[in-house]
Amino acid sequence: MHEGNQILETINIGLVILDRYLKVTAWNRWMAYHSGIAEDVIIGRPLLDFYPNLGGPKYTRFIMSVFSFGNYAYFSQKLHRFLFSMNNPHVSSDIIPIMQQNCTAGPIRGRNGRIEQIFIAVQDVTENVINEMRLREKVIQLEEALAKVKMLEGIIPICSYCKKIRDDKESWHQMESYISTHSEARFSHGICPECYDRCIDEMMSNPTSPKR
Amino acid sequence: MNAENTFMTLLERDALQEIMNISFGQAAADLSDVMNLHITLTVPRIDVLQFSEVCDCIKDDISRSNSDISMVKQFFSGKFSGSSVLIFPHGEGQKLLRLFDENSDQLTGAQYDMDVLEKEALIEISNIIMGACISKIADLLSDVVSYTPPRYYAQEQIQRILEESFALGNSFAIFFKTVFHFNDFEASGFLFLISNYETLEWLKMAIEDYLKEYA
Repeated sequence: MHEGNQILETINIGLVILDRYLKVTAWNRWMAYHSGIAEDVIIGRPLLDFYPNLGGPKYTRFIMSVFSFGNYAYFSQKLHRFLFSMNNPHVSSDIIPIMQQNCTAGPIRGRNGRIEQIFIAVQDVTENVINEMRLREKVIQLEEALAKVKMLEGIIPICSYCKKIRDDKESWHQMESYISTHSEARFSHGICPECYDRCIDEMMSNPTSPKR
Repeated sequence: MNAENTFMTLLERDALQEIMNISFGQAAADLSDVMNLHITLTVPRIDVLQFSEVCDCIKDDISRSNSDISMVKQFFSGKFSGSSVLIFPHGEGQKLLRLFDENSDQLTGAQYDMDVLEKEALIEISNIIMGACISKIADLLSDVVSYTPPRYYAQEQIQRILEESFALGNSFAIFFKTVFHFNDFEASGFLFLISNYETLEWLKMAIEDYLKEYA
């Protein structure tokens, strides 16, 4: 097999070559596998027989700009989703049934420099699209979560003795009540070792005082 | 302009203007055909400039647009080689998005931000416009050119890229400017082609051949 053909057959992108009448002159194994159309079935036949939608304006623009101007043309997944309708071969087929594609077309010139054929390279970007979708969902979830979080920030005026906190309406509140109202924090009450020792000392020195 | 007189005779200058008029006329016709839209290109302005003047020249031209512009830049190489720069004033990309919105729900499905879609649309359209104009000039001068993929720039990137791209102070460039207009979408933009210094000598020879054949 010719070196070029070996690359054509084994490369992990779709490669199609069309002549000026849009007849298929090359259809690599990747295209055959994903389209379900065998090479010997499509070679020599007009592409539009198999993909009639490619006669639409955006497809014509993509293909004819290469034949007319000899530049590379780009068919972006973000704008067009796909060029060739093929099943999504990944596990994400429930979410996106059709394979998402970025496509590039370029000229193939004959010996006289005239553009006689064009190639179309098809890149499967479905997994990238799925990852972008997941990323967008996560961003939305994070934004929603962030909106729920009540933030305590700035300088909080607190009584040096009783530890009550003054709000913006000049009212004083118990610290637990203030923080619970202005954040998602909740309190569970206990006693630290220093306070425990102090309380025991107080109770022992004054046994008649009420127990807390 | 002094540089122009140094590098080109009056006859060569007129021939180049004629070549550009024909090329851009054909490009507009072919663009309308391929894109199925009515597109007009103004008669191109041609200047021979010092490379370092190119950036200021582009900035002068686009200064009347608002600051929030988009730029698509591409290199082309053949015997005729250089850079092409397309500038779209703010909002034009969104107008041109309608060109891709054949199924009305497809683009408004909100899978992507409008900024992303606008960028993709401008790259795709720019690539076709630049290809059309350059290929027609190359055809007329019997040259074949190839292109690098177009790159998109926005806001503060533009100034930096323009300054970096055209910083070679001692060489000269031929500077072509046209304004294109998509009549159906009321959208316009600027196209600048800046030839490399190496192209100048070839261009003079190609003009000479052109004059022999047509003059």
